Amino acid sequence: MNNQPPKWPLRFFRWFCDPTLVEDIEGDLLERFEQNKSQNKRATWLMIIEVIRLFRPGIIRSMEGYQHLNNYGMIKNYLTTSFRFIKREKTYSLMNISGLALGIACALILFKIIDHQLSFDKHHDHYANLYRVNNEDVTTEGKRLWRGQTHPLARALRSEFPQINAAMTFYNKEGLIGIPNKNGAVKRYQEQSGIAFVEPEFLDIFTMHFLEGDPHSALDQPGKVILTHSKANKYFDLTKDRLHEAISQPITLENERTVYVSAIIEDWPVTTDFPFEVIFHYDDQDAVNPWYYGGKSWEEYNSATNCYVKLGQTDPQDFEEQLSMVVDKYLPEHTAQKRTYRLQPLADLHYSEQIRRTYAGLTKTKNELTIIGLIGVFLIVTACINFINLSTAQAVKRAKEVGVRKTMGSSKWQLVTQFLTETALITFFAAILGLGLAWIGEAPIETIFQHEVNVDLFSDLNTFYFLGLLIFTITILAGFYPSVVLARMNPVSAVKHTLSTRQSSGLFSLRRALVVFQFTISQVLIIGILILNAQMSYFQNKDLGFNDDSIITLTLPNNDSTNLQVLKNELLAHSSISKVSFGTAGPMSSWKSTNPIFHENIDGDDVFANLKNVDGDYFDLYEMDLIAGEGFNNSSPRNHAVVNRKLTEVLGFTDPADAVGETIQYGRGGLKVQIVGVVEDFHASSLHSALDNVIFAHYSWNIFQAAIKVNNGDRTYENLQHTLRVIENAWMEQYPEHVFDFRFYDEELGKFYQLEESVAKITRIFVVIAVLIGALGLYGLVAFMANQKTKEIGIRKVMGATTWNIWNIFSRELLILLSIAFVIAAPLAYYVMNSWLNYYAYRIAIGPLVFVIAVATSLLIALVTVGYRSLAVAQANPILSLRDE
Amino acid sequence: MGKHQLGEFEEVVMLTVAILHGDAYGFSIIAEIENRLNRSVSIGSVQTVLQRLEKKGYLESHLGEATAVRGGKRKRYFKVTNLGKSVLEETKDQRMSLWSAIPKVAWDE
Repeated sequence: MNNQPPKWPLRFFRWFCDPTLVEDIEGDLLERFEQNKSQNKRATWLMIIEVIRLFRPGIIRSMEGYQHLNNYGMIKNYLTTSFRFIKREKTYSLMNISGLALGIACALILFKIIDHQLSFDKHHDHYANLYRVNNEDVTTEGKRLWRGQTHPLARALRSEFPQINAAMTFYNKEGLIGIPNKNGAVKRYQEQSGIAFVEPEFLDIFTMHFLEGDPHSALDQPGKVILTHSKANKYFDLTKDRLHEAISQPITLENERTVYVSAIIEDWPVTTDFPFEVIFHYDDQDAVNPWYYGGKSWEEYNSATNCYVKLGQTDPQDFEEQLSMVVDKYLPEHTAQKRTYRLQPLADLHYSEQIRRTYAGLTKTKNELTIIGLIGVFLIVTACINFINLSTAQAVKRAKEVGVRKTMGSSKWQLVTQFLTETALITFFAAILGLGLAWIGEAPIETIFQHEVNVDLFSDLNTFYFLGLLIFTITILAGFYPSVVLARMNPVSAVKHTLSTRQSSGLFSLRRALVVFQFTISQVLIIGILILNAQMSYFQNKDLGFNDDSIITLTLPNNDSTNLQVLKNELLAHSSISKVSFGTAGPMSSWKSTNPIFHENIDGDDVFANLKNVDGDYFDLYEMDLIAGEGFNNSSPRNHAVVNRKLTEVLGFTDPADAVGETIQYGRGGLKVQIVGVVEDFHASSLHSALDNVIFAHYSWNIFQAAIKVNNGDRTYENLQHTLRVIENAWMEQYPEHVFDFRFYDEELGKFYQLEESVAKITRIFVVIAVLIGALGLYGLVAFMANQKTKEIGIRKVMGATTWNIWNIFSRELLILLSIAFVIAAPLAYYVMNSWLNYYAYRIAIGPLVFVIAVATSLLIALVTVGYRSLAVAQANPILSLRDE
Repeated sequence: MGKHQLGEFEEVVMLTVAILHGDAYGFSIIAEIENRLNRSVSIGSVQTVLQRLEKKGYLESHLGEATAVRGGKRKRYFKVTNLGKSVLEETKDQRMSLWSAIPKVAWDE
């Protein structure tokens, strides 16, 4: 029989047994084995049984295992150490946390802006399957893509391709809505947005939620209207359970058409490019659109008239090709030869670069969103660089701790874990603070963007997922390098306090590279914002070729000449009103009637011109210069026209006076006008685009706007109020059935640059923050240098160095780093801003001044930051720094 | 009463530890119980009870010197604590009071 105890049951036992018990019990097992053997029992077999009977709770090691318990203890210890460190180094922690918090707050807001933009129109069930039919025309300036359509297109598509669904939409935006009550009185609302006209198929293509009414019959014939919940509330003042009472109520449109409410839908999400709130049947648009002509014309285009298709199983590319058949079959020949229909996915609608307007406003191109994202990334990276600079600067202070930990047996990776835990803790605090800051910043930023963006941090969980991701990324990005630096320290020299100052200051240390990077970012941003500001003030101050000052505009309900004449006389009778003029629109306007013009000197491709109808006082009121011929008087015939200088050049006249007397044809309809005068060139479109050809015709229809010039003399608030009351009274006398609404013309023009204005405002904020974070990092770097050079400075002072000399030591390095950064930043900023400016037909030139200012600004910030810290070091008593040897 | 309840086997183990006074370790306890009470006991059951009693504070232990017999493994010696002693006495008193409460006639039937 075997004398040796069996190995494997013991090995099994040692594996499962609680380590504190293993020795004692194993001894018992062996003793029993010996005893059993001596009694000639089957000792091995009995031992196996004993081992199995030992396999019970109380003996088996805990599932966690002792190693895990140990880690838990260490993490607890790391947290304690971190808390103590944060409490001890208050300035350092404050700088770290506030820098990170600012970065996180900005990143959160930018994230929400992007998140909001990316969620546009996703609520439609057929999102991936919806397309807008655009026109691509071959013109003199290459291919032109545009969205305006002819009314019969959708009908033609439906009949040619039964497998697809198509609908026309017309977004009139503004409209006068009347709610007649039981006594016959009418409550009127001048709506500034939301008035839409759609074909019934719209309801099948787009997704909306009906609260009341039947989706199938809601728009099956003209005379019906769908309201959103909030509009129904506004008009009928109903609580949610009484919404059904709104059904079949009459409402009037422009005092002309009475329709009945057929359904009420839920409000659209804010992320929609179809802000239709009062939705009429398509055919009812003849009440507001004089060019509707029953929707039969294949010649009438309007940018607000769009065509949408739902493709189903059809492949979009195949379908696009088949559309050429529609071009040939329906379009008039002169259009058909240059036209291709193009499908634009709904997913692209909000981000298009070529068609920048949607029903709701401007598109945000992927480039713009990328820039916003990049600014966010830059801010986070700057904050991380800061953190790295500050942490490595503090490394010397932690040296002893690291030394002791290493001596006690801490491994390098344990130390890395410790410092990463610390970073995570700091980041976590910063994240909470950042969330608070972002929450505070939410409202002001929405105001700046005039609610074009929506930053609701707590609308969904995305904010928190993003915050989690941010904490993780920052911890790794900012914490890893300092942790490794700390963990790498030689324990002996760390404890002995003889840590070499040369150790980490090679010619090209990572920290220097980071500072250069940070300087580069802040200089690019400073240069960028300076150029942006210069372009903005150029927009505001550029001579437009007319005077937009002190002009009040009113939108006229009709062209009745008696009304107009009486209104004009009433207004002019008042001393504070100097001039009144009626016309299609102001010299610069977003609404334009553009058509090709024909003249014997024009051959080849079409030349387009804008037509505005104006009265004789127009040029006087807007102070436009007549350079040849004459303007209009009240008896001028309808076909007299004044053109701008550019048009005379297009017609081939070098001297504008030669163009007087020429006859040109506007549009294909045969409208012929005779040039009687020429005005100096002026901006008919915003400064984004080049000069237009413009024809002013003396013509008594197409009069949409009254312009009223207020005397400039005494523009006090009271005077203005009084003048407005006079205008309102005169208006109500002529148009009692309309709502009085006025605008200031210069403010209207300012709206052309609203996007730039918002971008400039927001960028200014972020630039300030980026520069601030950069300054914090710089402070950290100087603090680091000061720590390392304490002894050197002490010796220098003993040897007779002045404060100035010592300040020099610190500044010299920074000046070099700043110069390197400038060399990188200047061309980069020039390139980026120059390509941005190229979007504008009228732009400033980038002069050297902005670069000088940028360098001076960052130099000033750098020197002040450095000065503060280095002066403290320079003035310290050298004895203090030298005696610890 | 009620606060310190000993199970039967717990009581046996504690008493054996007391009997072995100074020489009570895992195997000796087992051998003693097997000898005196003539019942077979596994190492597992005894060790579990020992751990439990030590945790409750009735026993205390220390590791002794290594001996050749056990393959060089050290013994863990157990000793009854004062608390353990009072719990044992309390248990005994409870039993005695129960015994004395039995009426004489009960055994005659």
